[in-house]
Amino acid sequence: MPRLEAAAVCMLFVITLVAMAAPWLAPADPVLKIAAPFEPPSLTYLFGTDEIGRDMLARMIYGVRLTWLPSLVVIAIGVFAGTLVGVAGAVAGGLVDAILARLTELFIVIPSTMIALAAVAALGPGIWHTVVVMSVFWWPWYARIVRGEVKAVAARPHAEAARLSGVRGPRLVLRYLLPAALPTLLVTATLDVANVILVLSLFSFLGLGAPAPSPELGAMTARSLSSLTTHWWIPILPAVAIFMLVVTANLAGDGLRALMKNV
Amino acid sequence: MRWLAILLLLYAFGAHAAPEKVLRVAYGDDVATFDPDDAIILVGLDAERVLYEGLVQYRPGTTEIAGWLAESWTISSDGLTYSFTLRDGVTFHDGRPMTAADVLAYFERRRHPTLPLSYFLDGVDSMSAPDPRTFVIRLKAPQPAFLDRLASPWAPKVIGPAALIDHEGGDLGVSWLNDHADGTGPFMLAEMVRGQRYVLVRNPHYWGPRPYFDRIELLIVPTINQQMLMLQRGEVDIVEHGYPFDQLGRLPSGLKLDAHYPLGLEMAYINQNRALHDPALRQAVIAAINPAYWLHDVFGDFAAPARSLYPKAMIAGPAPVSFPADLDAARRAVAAAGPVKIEIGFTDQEAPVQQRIAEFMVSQLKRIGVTATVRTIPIDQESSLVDRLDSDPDIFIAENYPDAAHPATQTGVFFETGAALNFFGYSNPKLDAMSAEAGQITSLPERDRAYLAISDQIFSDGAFIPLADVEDVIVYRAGLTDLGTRPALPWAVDYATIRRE
Repeated sequence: MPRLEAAAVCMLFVITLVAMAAPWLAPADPVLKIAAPFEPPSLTYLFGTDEIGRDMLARMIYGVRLTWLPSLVVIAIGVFAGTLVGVAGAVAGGLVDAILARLTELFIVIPSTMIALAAVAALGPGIWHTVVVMSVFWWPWYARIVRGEVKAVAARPHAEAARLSGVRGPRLVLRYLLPAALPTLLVTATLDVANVILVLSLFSFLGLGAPAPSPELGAMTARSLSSLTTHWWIPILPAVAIFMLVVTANLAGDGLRALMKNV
Repeated sequence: MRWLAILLLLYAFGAHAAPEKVLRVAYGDDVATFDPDDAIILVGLDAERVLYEGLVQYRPGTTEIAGWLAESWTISSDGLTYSFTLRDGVTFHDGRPMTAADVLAYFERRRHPTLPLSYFLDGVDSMSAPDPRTFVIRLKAPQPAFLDRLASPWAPKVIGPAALIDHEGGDLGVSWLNDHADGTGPFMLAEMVRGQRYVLVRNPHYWGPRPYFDRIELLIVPTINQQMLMLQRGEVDIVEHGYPFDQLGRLPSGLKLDAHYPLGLEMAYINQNRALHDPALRQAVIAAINPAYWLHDVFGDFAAPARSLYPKAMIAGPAPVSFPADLDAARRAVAAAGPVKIEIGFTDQEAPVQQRIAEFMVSQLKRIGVTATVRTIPIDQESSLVDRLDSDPDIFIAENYPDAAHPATQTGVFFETGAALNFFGYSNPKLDAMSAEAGQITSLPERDRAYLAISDQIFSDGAFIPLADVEDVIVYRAGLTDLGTRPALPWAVDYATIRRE
């Protein structure tokens, strides 16, 4: 794996650790005013303070948590649901496969982000509403990948041999079919994290994420745009964090893809 | 002869080349309608009042009442009959002269119960026009605040026969007035592109002083960032509202500001039907939301702690409201109540400022152990808050404006049982009785004392919390003068008086 991509994979683990350990890592409570508003970055407040006087570093660490962990949840639900649908179609074949394939295509062609925005607006802003609604639209690509991979593997000699020796049902799927689809699934999911982060940030930018004063990165940028020319660090730093998360996830995905090719 | 011809040519050329005087103003929102009877508007109020004129108005910079379409007036000794002598030589925009019969026809329209602002004339018993220049209103009972109601920014303003007769259309002319105007004001509506711009042009037949500007262009620019950039580039001349307070101290060169205390008051409305039903907990929360903790951070030098539940431009209370100061006691009260989670709502009308106040409150509430979140309430849902008290926020913060400068209009709109903006259904029969009594007092010092007693009563009930008097700040390009701002006229300059040096 190239060195940059390897570093990105390591960064993913670090980001996940930071997200999980935010309450212990953050230098202050992200909701409490700890200093005067608009303190620029300094040795005392590394990332400065925001328009309320809250520590920007603390809010960024919590912001990563509120962006990163929900992204992983959306991906996990998408992979799980997509795998179920893909495997069911590939194994059952015939009418069931045809119906599931059309259903998958239907979800792919509808403008999912717009519908998700409308659904979250109707349900009311909230991080879990966003996660649930996004998950509803995030499985079809995984279903399509798994279905294709499983169908291809099912025609290979080792799967044929397993069937002839009487292996059926879940054992056949879990032991002989699904493992072949996992590398592609893993690479796709890693690359997809970047997309989920962007969409989640869009939701929070539009005020459809966690209710304020939750330190969501997109919302932090959106709310402080009028400070762009006077207190640049308040809108810029969360935006840079989103950018870094997306780039890291993409590089890590590329790294995993390179690794899987060599395996 | 040849020289004379050249001079005439030069004069003609000069006359044609005289540039049109145009004032460009940024509006943060679209205007619902310019129909003075059909909606309570804030954005567009300044345009409406140069299209239409009422009988009386507040003088610039004061809450003193002066004549407008009425040259003078008398009030009968029993306080029931108001007789207005109308100004001579007033014409509507279509050229027809205005008579008392037109004013009467218009006031009859205003009283129609389907129009949302008909309540201004609720206390009117009868109206008449005994001669072409006299208009008489008789009240059912004395109303010391009646003249203030007629001077209100949302007061009746006379609409002409083009709307009320020619285009009445079976709906009192409401449909026609959505896109047209026919008043007596110094400007006429020339162009109306909803969501983009409105253009007013000078009325050549205006009865009063000729305005300096030939043309007013009102541009809809929804974001304040864009408004600020346009102001700096000279694409607009005025940003009437919403310039961030934290940037007012370092305005770019070429920009100036006008700041004055309006009749608006920043208030917190407490929902006593949910988590804050317990008086001890309510007092703890009130201690934490004390504006002393956040006022300067939010508004800089452009606000002062509220002195009562009446804006200081209405009643100058003796001293700032005294909040409970013992935060340790507040902490103990919260601890005794168990985990307390509350929600703070704020109006989307001034979202950046209100959200900032709410988030300061969240921080302070956390210090006494209360977990709070904030959410936006669209302004068109404000009046229906009272219908869903169980799902409403526990605290709602907003800067709201009474109808006029008389304190009865503040009490009647916000605090009395069933009042239109009594968002959480507060009701106190004792207060209603005090309000009815205060509403009849004509001596100003006595009147103000009575209303300050009402303020103390409501504050001790923990229903409405006066937070701050916040200055209306208008940012404009240097060179403009005579802005004609008025405390009772929010977010507005007077296009009839404003000029460029």
